[in-house]
Amino acid sequence: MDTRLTSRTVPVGIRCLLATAGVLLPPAMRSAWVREWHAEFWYSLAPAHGYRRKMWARALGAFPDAWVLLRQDCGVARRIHEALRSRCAPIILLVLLLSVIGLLTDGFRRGRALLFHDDSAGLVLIAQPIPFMGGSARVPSAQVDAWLEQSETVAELGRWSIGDRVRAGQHIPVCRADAGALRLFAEAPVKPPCRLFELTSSKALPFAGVLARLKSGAPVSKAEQELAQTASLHRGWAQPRVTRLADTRTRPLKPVGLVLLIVFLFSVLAIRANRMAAWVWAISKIALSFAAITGVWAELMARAPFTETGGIPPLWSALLYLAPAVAACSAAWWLRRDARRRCRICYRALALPVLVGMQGRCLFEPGCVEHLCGAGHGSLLVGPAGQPTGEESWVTW
Amino acid sequence: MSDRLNLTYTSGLILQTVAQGLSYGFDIIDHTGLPSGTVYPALRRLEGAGLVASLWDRNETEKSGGPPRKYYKLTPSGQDRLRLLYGRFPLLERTAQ
Repeated sequence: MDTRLTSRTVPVGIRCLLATAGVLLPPAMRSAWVREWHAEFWYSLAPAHGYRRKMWARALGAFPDAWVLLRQDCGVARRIHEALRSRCAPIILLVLLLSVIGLLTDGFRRGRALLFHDDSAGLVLIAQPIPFMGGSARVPSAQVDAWLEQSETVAELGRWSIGDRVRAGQHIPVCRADAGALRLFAEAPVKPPCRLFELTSSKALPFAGVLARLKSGAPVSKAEQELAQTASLHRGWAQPRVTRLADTRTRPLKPVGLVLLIVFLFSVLAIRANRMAAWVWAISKIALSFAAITGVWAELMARAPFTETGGIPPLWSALLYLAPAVAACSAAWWLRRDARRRCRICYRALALPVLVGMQGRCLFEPGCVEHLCGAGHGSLLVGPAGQPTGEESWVTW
Repeated sequence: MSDRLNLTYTSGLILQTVAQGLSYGFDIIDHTGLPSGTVYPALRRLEGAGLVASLWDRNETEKSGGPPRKYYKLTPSGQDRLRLLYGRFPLLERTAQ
């Protein structure tokens, strides 16, 4: 027995499929196109057996249909241009960008591991602070031996040093490490910035970087106290500093995080200054942009290698401190500029710039450029025309 | 434009189906057995070439209380073109008979 479909019996999935295919078409053509397809489903006779599969197969035909209609009546390039000017295009692009970054980084796995758990397996770096000068230096190997003899906190340690080797006219950094260091490198989530690793004896490294694993529950302060006791054993030995590997890697978190937060708030305030009714769109765009920057930055931070002196290599420092700040400032500049060129009511990009008034006049009808909202909400007057710092005023009709 | 349009057998079949009075998209799909991804794009091309015209059917709405449905009908140039196609695809004419 055949039963006639009503609009309620057109499955929601098919309606969603039609709506998705309809996105290909410009809004002016979309509603008629969707109505045509929906009506066909409404009037379709539904044989009891296998009609749903048949309907789904038919609904999939909406995609080639929309594509042909788009190419024939609208033009793909024009549609892309139109779509990019719409209010949801930047949001969709940012969500796609975040999804791609998320996929490439396995769901921001390394960043999450560093920020929300200590992924460094209790590893610490030991370096010797340089008095008065700042910075750190490698630790005398003999002092490490003295510490190891009487220490109650250290479970395992390794010594290593970064050297240079010329191969085919190129300087290649080589990490010379003892067996303990190589074992600990294998456990560590990040490694020194070297491609080559060489096994060497600890005696061959008079001054070395030290990577150690403390015993379970042993505090860093106790290890530092033990090291302080060794400082008095020999003239010239200073008190080394113990830094957790996780702390070395999360060091940029506070300063750069603060910069990102300030620039984010500045961007939000800039939107507020525009008195934008469509603030939800603008704030979403700002939030997603900063989420993308923060996500990439956190992933880089979790991948930063460590040096013998318990720090981050200079190039990585620039990448982790400067790059996010520059990216955030550039994003804030772009978001502010973009928000000024959008309708305050509906957040559509303003178009059709026309010259109004008379150039050279100061009092009555000075020359301005008027940008119109496509939906007819108002216009933005930028002027006087021809001057680099013209004033802007939003006029609602 | 319709003169330059090189019609395939499939397009000819759709044109002939419309000429037989099966004017709704899904009816053409049922009659020809072609998938919707072939029939609808072909109908758009034929409409763009001026061989078929589409109109909204309000009578059906009054009868059944459903939404207005779009139907397709052959234009005079479409009828001329179909006659030319019978010469090119003899099987198409036989199918029509």
